[in-house]
Amino acid sequence: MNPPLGIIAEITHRCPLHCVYCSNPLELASRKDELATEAWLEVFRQGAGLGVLQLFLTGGEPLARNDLTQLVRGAREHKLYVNLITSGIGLNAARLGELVAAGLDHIQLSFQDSEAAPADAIAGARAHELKLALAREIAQHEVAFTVNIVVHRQNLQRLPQMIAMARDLGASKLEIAHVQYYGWALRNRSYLLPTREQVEESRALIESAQKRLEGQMRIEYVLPDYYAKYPKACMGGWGQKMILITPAGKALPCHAAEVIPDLEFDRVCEKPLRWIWEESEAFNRFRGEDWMQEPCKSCERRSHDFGGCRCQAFLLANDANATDPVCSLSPHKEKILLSLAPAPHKASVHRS
Amino acid sequence: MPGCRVSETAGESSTLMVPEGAMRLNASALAIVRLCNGVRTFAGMIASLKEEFPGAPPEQLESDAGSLLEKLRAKGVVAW
Repeated sequence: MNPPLGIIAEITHRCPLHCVYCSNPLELASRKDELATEAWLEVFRQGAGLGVLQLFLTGGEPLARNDLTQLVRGAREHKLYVNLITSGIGLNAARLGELVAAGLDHIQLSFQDSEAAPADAIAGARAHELKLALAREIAQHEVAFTVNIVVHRQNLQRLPQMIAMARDLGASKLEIAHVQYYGWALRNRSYLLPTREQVEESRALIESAQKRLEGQMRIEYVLPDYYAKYPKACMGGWGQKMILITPAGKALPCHAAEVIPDLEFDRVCEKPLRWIWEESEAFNRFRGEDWMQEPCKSCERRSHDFGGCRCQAFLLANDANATDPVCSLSPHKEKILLSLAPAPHKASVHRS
Repeated sequence: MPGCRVSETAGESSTLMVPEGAMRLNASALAIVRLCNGVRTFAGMIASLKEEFPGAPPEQLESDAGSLLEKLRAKGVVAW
């Protein structure tokens, strides 16, 4: 069995932002349940022993933990490549210098928009100006720098300004990701889901920007799967590439996996990581193709997209074994198409 | 580029570590990556490679280095 390529370490659920599309579960782990420094370092050690190369420190806001520098240093000692996925809130020049000195390889800084007012409205906090100042600090350091912007119906019209902003901030990569509809985002779907015209227009715009900025800034674009013909190859396949550890130490095959009922997730403090990856019921449940139903079972694309996302199948078709309902071959596609019909403008709800 | 580094483990092939990814390097690929220092020209690289691999046909070195560098440029590892 191949080892996981990466560990996604959600080191805390605490976060100063309250984004309307937050991808964390509806029920957050509290501070007292978070794994201690030593427990995380042990996870990194076991991961490296298993063959993991990449570590993604995320949250919540990872900067909310005051042992972050120690975690970065420990991960580097185990020869992991350390990515920090952050809103930047809680970072200043001194702390940034410490993190880079500890061996941080890559910072992915999130923005909510290219303009302060709508950005702060989405985040439920005054954050945009702070992020801009911070980005200029990051660009001064020997660390890879990615700008990430989540897009949706309310901000897609500013895509050209977003690209210009990332370029101006000196990012080497810009990641434009459409909202994925789980957790809080599913609750706010009618507010966030873009129109088909918006999606088509943005795709053309991105393609021309990619050509124009070749060799200067890479642009990665994650399309919304609701408009796709086929589902996304979620997580590169269940239990194939990634292992996610929640703040309280539960090991999950993807960040939304806890929505699937009757699936028990093991904890890293109770079981070795290798056993969880190779033997546990949760990681084996949707591994390979044995669990598939029709139309996936006989579909020639089954080895490309693995039937799509198991969590989305459960959330939208109430069956985690079903074909991902966004697939044009799914009997539930109708339901998806209905949700795309222009909805009356609905106010959004900030994550609590 | 910042955030790109080579990780060498004794007795194993080297790994080029980049943001959110990794790439195994064989001996010649490692030599090529090692020569990327931000100022060296392509011609300069080929000259060094010829010294390092005297047995290899020069055209082969040029095409190998060229295709690897194109690949690395697409991944944002090198720039020119």
